[in-house]
Amino acid sequence: MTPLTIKESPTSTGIALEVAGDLDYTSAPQLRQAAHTTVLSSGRRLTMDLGGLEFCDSSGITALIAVRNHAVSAGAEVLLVAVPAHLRRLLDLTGLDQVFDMRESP
Amino acid sequence: MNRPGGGPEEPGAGLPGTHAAFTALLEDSAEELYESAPCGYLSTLLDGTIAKINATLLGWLGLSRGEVVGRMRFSDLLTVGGKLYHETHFAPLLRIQGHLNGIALDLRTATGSRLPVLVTSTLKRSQDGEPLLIRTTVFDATERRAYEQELLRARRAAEEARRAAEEARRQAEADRERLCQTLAVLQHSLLPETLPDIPGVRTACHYHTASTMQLGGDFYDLFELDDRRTAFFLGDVCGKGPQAAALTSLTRYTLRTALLHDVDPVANLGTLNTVLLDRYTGDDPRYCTAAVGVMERVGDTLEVRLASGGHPPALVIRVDGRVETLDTRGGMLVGALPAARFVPARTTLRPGDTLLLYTDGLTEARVGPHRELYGDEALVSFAAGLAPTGPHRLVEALKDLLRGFGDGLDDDTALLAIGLPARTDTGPGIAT
Repeated sequence: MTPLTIKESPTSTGIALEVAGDLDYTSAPQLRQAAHTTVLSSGRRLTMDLGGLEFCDSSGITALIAVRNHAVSAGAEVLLVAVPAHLRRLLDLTGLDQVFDMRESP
Repeated sequence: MNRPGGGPEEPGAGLPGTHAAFTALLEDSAEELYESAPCGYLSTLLDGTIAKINATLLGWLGLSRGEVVGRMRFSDLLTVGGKLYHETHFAPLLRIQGHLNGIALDLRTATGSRLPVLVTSTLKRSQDGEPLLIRTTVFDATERRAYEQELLRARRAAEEARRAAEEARRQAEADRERLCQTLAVLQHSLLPETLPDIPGVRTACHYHTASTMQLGGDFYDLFELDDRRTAFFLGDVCGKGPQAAALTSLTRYTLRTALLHDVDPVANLGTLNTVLLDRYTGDDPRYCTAAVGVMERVGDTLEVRLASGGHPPALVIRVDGRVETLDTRGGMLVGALPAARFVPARTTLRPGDTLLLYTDGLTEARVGPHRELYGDEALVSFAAGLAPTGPHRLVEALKDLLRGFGDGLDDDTALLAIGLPARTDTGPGIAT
């Protein structure tokens, strides 16, 4: 078990969240909360750097969807960066690879 | 010790102040020691008549020597219960043994109060062994008795606490048992009791519960639409517990109803998507992955149309040992996104072929010393190794496989297999 850590920083296009550790049933609300308090405006981008993510289960996927819903409703877009292989596999399996923009690096 | 001037003849001589104390002690007369001893002394004749008693005991009793000596018996000093005990046990035993040690009795004082004591008596005999008199020492046992009672009270309290804890534990176990039963009933309400008999078709299913204390989120169902067509589905809702069970229930009945109105599996997943999106809002997305299918009897084959929403691909184990993966990649989670896309697939089952639907508890299980993912490829190889097989044998083999995963399997797992019996030389419908 690695505790989830979320670091927020401004970028030229919007806001970046650096998410590391285990994203599971216990920690998923933390990410939802972090995204919820993030002020997003139309046309901006929420970049989530997942390079340090060690574990993600279905609750983690739910949190990612909730974050995306939050951003989309504000008119912002979401970009996932450095998605680990295990999460990439889950996203492919659940068709979410068609929903999230993903990049190797920011 | 090499203190100068010190020696056994002069105890404490080297310490100022103690010398005077020792002198005082040595001057203490035997009489004084007897009268003012820290315990009670009395001597009685063989019939119990008190012949001699010390001041300490008289003080405790609040009696004068004149009232007692020659006038009272030892038993007169005791409470009624003590008197009885003295007559029936104490005195006879003393006569036999000649000595009794530390017997607990209660004295009755002049004021009527009760004084708990410990009594030791010795029978003094003459040189030729004839009993002469009885010497008795009496120790004030008030403190000790109080202490004993305190101990007794503490023991009773401890026993009471232990009983209460035991009762609480029993109650907790009963509650847990009741909860498990409730959960099992609820879980069963989310799954068909048995799969219906479809003429000429073999089916088998299995549900592995990861925890009896947690409602699982997997589901499956299979039911006839009409004489030729049968609908089926299998899926996995996100999360666990009561919320997952509520979502499972909504999903199951939505799919059942939708399938009765429209036999297009993709359209059915679309309906479910709409229903779930309507029910659960953006901040609390709840979704499932599902494979939905409709099969139709055409000659001696089964035409199967199915669709997947984010669900692991179904497998077809052919009679000749080939294993096909029904490619439904790109199908999205159901209930999470308004514009979700679901992907159809078709296959034809011929006699001896078996279709397998499963949830990812099976493929996401961790195996081996490094707890590696069991994975899709391992499942395909495993299934290929079983061919030719049938739904029943396949599900039984997978149950063994799941058991073998041990604690590497920490998720619920649902299995649903559908097949046509192989043609055999000895007659139809033997192999399953």
